[in-house]
Amino acid sequence: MITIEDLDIIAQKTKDRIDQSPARTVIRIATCMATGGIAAGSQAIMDLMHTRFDGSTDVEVQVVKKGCVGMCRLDPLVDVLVPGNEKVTYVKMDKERMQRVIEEHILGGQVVAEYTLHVANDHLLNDYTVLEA
Amino acid sequence: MATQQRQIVVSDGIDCHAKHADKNIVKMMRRALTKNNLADQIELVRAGCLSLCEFEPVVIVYPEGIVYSHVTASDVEAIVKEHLVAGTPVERLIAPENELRSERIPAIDNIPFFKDQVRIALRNCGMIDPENIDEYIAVQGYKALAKVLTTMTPDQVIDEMKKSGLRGRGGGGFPTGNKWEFAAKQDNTVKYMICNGDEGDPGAFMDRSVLESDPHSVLEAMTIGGYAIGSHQGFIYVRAEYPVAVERLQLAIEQARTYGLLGDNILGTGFAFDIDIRLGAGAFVCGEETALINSIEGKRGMPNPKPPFPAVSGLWGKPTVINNVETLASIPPIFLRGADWFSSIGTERSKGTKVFALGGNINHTGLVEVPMGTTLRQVIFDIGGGIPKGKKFKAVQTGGPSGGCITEEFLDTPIEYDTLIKLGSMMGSGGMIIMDEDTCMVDVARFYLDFTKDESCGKCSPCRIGTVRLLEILEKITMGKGTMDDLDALRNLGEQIKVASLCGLGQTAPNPVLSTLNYFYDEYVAHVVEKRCPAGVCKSLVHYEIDAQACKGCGVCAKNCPVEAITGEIKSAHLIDDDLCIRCGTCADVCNFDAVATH
Ligand SMILES: Cc1cc2nc3c(=O)[nH]c(=O)nc-3n(C[C@H](O)[C@H](O)[C@H](O)COP(=O)(O)O)c2cc1C
Ligand code: SF4
Ligand code: FES
Repeated sequence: MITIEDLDIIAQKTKDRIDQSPARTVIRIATCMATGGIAAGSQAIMDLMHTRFDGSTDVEVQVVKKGCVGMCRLDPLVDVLVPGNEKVTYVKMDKERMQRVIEEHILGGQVVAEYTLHVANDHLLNDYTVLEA
Repeated sequence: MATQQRQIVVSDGIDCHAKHADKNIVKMMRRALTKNNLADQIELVRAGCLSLCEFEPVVIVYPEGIVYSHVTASDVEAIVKEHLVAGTPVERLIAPENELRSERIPAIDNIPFFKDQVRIALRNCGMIDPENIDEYIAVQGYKALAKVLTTMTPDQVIDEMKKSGLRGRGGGGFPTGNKWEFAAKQDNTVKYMICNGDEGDPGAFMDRSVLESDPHSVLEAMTIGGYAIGSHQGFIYVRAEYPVAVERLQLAIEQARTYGLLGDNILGTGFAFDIDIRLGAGAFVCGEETALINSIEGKRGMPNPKPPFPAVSGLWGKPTVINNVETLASIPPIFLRGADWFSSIGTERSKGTKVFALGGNINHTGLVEVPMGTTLRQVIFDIGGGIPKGKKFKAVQTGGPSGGCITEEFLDTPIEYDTLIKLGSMMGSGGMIIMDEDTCMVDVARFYLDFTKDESCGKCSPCRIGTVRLLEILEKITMGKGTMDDLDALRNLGEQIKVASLCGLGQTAPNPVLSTLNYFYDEYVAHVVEKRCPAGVCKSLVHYEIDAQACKGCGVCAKNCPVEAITGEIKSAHLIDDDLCIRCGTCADVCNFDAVATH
């Protein structure tokens, strides 16, 4: 059983994990695993991340589930938090896209801008249906 | 390091019938890329509606995100030669008056969808790992409980709740502090705290979201409530159709028990409280509190007359507080930041924030949390991004099957419990279905009545029989067989069901009919008198006809008609047999000359 003092100790210990700012010290990849995310296929992304970062890599990476931010139509959403950088949210992700984000962003340090949100005239441009590829 | 991939997105507006739509832009672009040997290196995507109708055809070049608008054939050449081959954006095509630059926004919080939101109930949703209690504790989780248990008496807790002005988010809008006070005053050693996670309103999913994304905030709030009213046992009633929510709750409860945040001696203070989950089978009526109690007791989920109210005699006859998920999720911040802080948000009679689930014909569907008093227009147009495909707004249904529709002229109404009721609708649980000009309001009323008729538990006859009769009349009208007397009958019957039904389901079931009758009477009359559905939705009232002038006699329509209702010689105008026609609309879809008209 924990005491009120323990609450503060746990909070202090976990502060870095939940830090969404560049001040954090460990890479964190949070995939939306609420119903909308799961329905859009986020389990495959979680599986990929768990295989890729099974503890045998040099970089320390927190692979976590996150909840719903209400933008379910752009799911799977993946937040990539790299120490020293602003949080990046990728939208409409899948395994192949995640593969690229892992290599280029998480390991390579270069944000994959195509998969982030883009906006013009206050309109989200990501949110289209592909009629012909 | 990999170079950024070039990608070209073309939206030609065909999808949404924009004025200057030009299907050839994609073809021309493809040809130009091939001619310049770029086809392998550049990904070309033809996109559906981007909601940039007034700028279409639009060509966006990534990774720079340069947007060329009103693109013509000669522009395509220039874009490929100058921008893609030579690498210089074609500045002269980016005219200042229609300059549109696509910005890359890495931080999701900066887009309009988030900027105007104030997140209290959803504060942790998407920010922390819902399966890790330590992360909840790191965002000050269980600190409110600690404060309540060590520094406040139950009376002080209730006073603080009353002062905050928080009203129930489950539909009724009853002040939460007062509800707790009633239960606290009951002289009984056994009391219960229930979380209502039934969420039956079609279109609403904020409660599911909270339970899946931040389950500990609900557990913490229930424990605070238990302390305030003198209860030691809580139940979360959640529908079995929410398996992820159930799993996360189960895990959260186990974690909280392990930490002693639930159990006999919470945080060493001596206060005992525990929570169990009860699964519902997903009946709308089981969200009604007395039906919910019956369901937990193992009986059929049917309502009881009130009084007695659950706060006096609820679960197994004991004083019981029932609170909605979103109500509960709003509580811990009230104790962390103070009732004054909470009551400074919102309006005089509606404090704090409300979560809405935006759905239907709106660009940004999703969950949003805004301060009470925000106008419907702000929610639908500023945050929700307006109506897709350049269509006109027609109405918004709030309050789900218990609510009503609100029209354009009232869009500047601040959202509050009382203002929405005045407009013939209600806050409900926060479902917001936006409808564009192509929506038939009679059909909308029919849809909701079909739902309530199915969900009526059958205990009392006004609701059981009345909803069926309402639905029958509505179906008759949508089939073109209605009379003016039917419109009066709808109104009379609706009013009677409202006053004579036992529970909130029947008492509000006629609202979608009454409010559409009120605001869209002309549309009902068109169905009844002219046998016409102005929106072209009611199948029986739609007629397809081939314009003999426009028809080239190609025969595509006749070949595709599934019931062979179309006849005609090749190269001469074809004819549709209205009696055979099943109104599937295939002919209009396949005609290359827009020769099939509906009316
Ligand atoms: C037909 C019907 C369905 C309801 N469904 C729900 C529901 O799904 N969730 C909910 O919290 N309240 C629902 N309510 C309201 C509850 O009866 C009750 O007022 C509410 O849970 C109280 O919590 P609150 O004061 O926190 O809003 C429903 C009421 C009626 C009449
Ligand atoms: S109003 Fe309808 S749902 Fe409510 S008790 Fe009567 S029959 Fe059942
Ligand atoms: S479920 Fe992923 S954002 Fe809503």
